[in-house]
Amino acid sequence: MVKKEIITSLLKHIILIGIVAYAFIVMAVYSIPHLPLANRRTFHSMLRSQMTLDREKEMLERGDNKGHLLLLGSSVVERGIDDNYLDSLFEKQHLLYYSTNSGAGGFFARANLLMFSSMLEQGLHPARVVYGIFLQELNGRSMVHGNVNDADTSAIKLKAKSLWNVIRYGPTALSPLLSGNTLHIYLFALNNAFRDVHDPNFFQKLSFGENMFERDSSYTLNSTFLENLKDIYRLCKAKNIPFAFFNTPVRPKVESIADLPYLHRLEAYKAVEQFAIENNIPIWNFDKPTTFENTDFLDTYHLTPNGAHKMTSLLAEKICTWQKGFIEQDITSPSSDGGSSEIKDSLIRTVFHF
Amino acid sequence: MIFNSLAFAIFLPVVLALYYILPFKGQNRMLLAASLFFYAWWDWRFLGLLALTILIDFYASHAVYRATTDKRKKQWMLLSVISNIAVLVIFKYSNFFVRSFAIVLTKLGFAVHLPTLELVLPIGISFYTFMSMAYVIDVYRGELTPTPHFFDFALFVCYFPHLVAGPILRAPQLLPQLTHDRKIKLAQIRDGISLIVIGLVRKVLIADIISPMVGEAFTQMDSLGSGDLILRMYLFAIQLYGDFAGYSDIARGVSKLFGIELNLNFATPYLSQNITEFWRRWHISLSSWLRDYVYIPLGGNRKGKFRTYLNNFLTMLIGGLWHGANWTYVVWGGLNGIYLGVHKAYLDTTGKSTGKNPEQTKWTFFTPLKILFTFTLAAFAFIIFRSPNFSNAWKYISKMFSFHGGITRFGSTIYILPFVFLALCIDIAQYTKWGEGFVARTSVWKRAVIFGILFALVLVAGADNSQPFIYFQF
Repeated sequence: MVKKEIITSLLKHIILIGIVAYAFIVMAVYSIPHLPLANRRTFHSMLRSQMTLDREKEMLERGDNKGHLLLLGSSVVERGIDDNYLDSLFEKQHLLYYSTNSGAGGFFARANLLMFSSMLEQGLHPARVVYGIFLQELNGRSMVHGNVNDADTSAIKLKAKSLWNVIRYGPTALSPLLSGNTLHIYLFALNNAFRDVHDPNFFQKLSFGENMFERDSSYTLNSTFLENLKDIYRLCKAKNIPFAFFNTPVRPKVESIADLPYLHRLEAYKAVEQFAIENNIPIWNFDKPTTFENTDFLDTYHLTPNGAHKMTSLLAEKICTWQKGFIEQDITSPSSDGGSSEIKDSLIRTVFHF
Repeated sequence: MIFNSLAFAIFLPVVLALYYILPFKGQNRMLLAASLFFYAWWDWRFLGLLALTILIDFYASHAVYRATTDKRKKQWMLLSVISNIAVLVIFKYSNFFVRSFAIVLTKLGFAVHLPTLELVLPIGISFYTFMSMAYVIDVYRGELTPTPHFFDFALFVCYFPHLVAGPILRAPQLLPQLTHDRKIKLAQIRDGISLIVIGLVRKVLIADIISPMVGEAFTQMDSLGSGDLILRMYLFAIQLYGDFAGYSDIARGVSKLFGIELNLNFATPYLSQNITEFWRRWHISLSSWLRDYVYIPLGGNRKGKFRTYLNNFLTMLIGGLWHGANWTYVVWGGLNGIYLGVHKAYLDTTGKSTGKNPEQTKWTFFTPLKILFTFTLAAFAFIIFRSPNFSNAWKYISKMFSFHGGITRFGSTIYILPFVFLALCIDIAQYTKWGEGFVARTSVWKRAVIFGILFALVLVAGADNSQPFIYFQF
């Protein structure tokens, strides 16, 4: 039988260390801005969701009566739409909206559905929702994209920051900050560096890390992605939230073989377009050869700050028209060549470069 | 069951609670049962193999002790050695030898397809067979009287803190602690808790965080520059050390809570000033085992210079093979044997000695350079250790020495630096003995703040990211 003082000492050590550890975790969770608290580690999308929730809360606390325009999508939206600039355009046109860009790099419709439903559960009230489609996402099954790290996305929940939730999920919430890849996403998102700092200097690298432009080229047609996109619309419809699509652009010239193939983009666009027509949803196509120049792009899909301003202006015009009650739908001419025009387009883009 | 798992976080308090309320005899029986449960958690089917090793060696040790002639003693000792090596060969090396033999035959022009056993490698097999075998050899050498109690011997082999990844303990160190009534001291609780937290920091906060960067270097070499690969060479050395030294720290810390002292397995090896010193500080329990049971029986340094170099080299080759059934481990061991041979030749030529206690050596301007050089040699050899095959190792080394591309992943690299710095701080605290002094002189409240914050970081780093210890596979 071990002496009582030994047992007391052991318990004292364990309890004190445990209390300090959890006090540290609780303090960190409450003091780190926009830190999302979720039951699983799905950092980037949840971070964007939490930032969106915090923004709406801040606007409500300020007594602002503008409507919340929510932008959803992947990195092409995150980097391609400047929400601050969009707000200034709304102000110029006397539109009573403020916008939040919830686009999250690497997260396609599946993850967007997850984060959008999480935000709604946490009490978000968007006045309008605009989804920026990256057409390859409908065909995409890649390592880079859709990395929710969980097969069952319905189980992932964004949690309110109650003390119990913080104790329970705090370590999971903080864990991405100890990983270089996710910490740099956090710092980039917080500093709006995805758009403003596209070529970081040495000191910015020290502050944020580097934003590696991820590439992937392995695409297979996957109807699940389209279904997820439709589910986002259905969620909006159920809550009477007006919804619109826009199609993001691709660089006129291809820079690398890694960015190929382009196939199935037209097929994907047609699928979305058909859905939009059936449901009378606005759909705006910004992927037109003459709209953007090569210099507007950082890589094949992501825009530079100038390119982002260009697309934001185009989007503001469309929203302005939409707000007046017009449903604009960019309808493509029916393709009868079985996709050969798309192959030709792809080849032209490639040949121009090589 | 791994130390950084929820299962162990439940297992340990239950075992401690039972241990603290039981009388001495009951404590030992309970520890044995807990150790078997700990092992069975991984795969209960291999308990039989463990039991067989224990039975043979217990019986052999007594047979050696009772034998009246040297010949008979030797026969029993050899029976134990052969049975242990047979277990290792069957479960760990059979496929390796068969495949290697098939490759040789194919190279000679005989196309063969030899059957392999494809057995699962029992966890910790290299550790417990070495301990058990050494026990019988010690009895044979007359250095040890075998314990008459089977359960004490079984506990010596199975004691869960060391069972799956060492340290490889000797009977004279551990058995007396198991056979005599133990008095747990307050200092053991204090030091034990500190060691557990530091071990978790080394494993979860340092090794596991570095691990993805290292993995990337060996799987996506083409997308990295030379600078990245050089940096990751050092990072793997730090990862491996954090992983294994972390395990050893936790094992020692947990054991202290039972009032049982385990030997130090890593004495800040990366602060060594030469490769000989490095091998005295790295995986001490294995190095000393190989010295006592391989190097010295081979003749040690008693048979002339050439035999000394050769014995050293052969011992390191065996040490390499002990780590795993792959030629990369053998070559890693051989390379370290060459390092040691060159250093020995240098010492012989210059008449210098490594006998001094390094902690007492005065630091000079060149000391950090010597440390860096030794660390680089060790880290370079670890490339071969980490590579799945020679072509991968060769590709890594040639790309590293092409000096092309520099550091391409600057962003992810800088995030690692705080963890590397933390590893260095822990080592310096251990090297200078400042850490021990700090733990001994500060109040429980102050310690709770520091270890509490470190533990919080461990919880955060370990959330969703629990990785097994590298040395479990050996």
